[in-house]
Amino acid sequence: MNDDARTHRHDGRSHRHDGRSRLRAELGGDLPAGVAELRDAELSDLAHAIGEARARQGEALARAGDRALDRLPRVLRAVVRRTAR
Amino acid sequence: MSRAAESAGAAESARARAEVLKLARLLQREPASLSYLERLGLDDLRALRLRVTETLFDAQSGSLRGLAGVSRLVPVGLGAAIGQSVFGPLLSAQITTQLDPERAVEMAARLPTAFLADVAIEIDPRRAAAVIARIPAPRVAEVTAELVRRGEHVTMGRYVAYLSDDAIAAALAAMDPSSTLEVAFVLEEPERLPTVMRLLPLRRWDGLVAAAIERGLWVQALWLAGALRQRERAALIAAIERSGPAGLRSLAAAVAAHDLGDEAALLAAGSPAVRAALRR
Repeated sequence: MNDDARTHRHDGRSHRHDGRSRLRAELGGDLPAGVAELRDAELSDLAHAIGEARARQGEALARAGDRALDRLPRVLRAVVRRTAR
Repeated sequence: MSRAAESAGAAESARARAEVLKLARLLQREPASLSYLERLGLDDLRALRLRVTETLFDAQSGSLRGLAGVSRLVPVGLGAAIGQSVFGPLLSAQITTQLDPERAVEMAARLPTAFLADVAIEIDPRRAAAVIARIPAPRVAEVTAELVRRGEHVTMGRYVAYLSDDAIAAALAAMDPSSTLEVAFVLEEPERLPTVMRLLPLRRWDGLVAAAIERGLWVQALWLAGALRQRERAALIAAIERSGPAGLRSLAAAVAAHDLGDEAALLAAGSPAVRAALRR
């Protein structure tokens, strides 16, 4: 039975433990051949780490954008907002 | 496992750990938490890291273009100041890839060496290749010296292959011998290794051999031997011969300990002294 097909009973419902699918979704396509052979929990962990890194970077970018605007002369801020939109 | 496979294993395991370290940095994870990836082959690890790099970059590309727009609208000095005090190293590294390379280099000229070293740790050299290739050699030497001081071999290995020849020579001049071996071992584009090592002055090969002996870096030195062209391999062999009986004994001990017979065979073929030391 491969990882994709593996299911587990949890809280009375059936859940797929599908790290491979999660990682494929994070990376937007097929996995490198050897990577697909990792254990399901490892694939899940990797997918989780990528998702966390993406979220962290998104938040950091948003914060940096606001702080960068604060550093600019007021007359430039509207121009920058239009450019950055 | 065959002797050849075991021999390949010592170098491959060390290179796999370096790849996992690069990925861990990208994901801001402790390398130990990703140690399960060390089971993968080098090609898979590298392919995975490049995919993760693309994924993270693509997810933020719109915002990065916006922030690069901010940098373009202000004078170079203010852009550099915003980069250092507001964006920080990670975002500056990503925004750099969206800037005109000439402007990015002008901004780099106004930033402190320590901050540029921080940016170098975070940058994706493939996307920033046009910027990296334009950084003047003296500036590259300063940043490299800072990265040597921090023991950032993996970082140096990621960008050295993207430097101009002048800058590679300057970077090599800023590295101590053991750093040179470590950086060569984890070079991002190993096919560039012969070109990089051609720029190392021949007189410096003695130092590399001394580092292999004193710092236990024969795995790195012998892996390097396999990637060199004839002229540089001859320089390495000559340096090993000049290291005398103690150096030859150290080489033979490392070859036995790490099962590096195949790599050592390249050196033995060019040196009766090495051949004799390995037979003992």
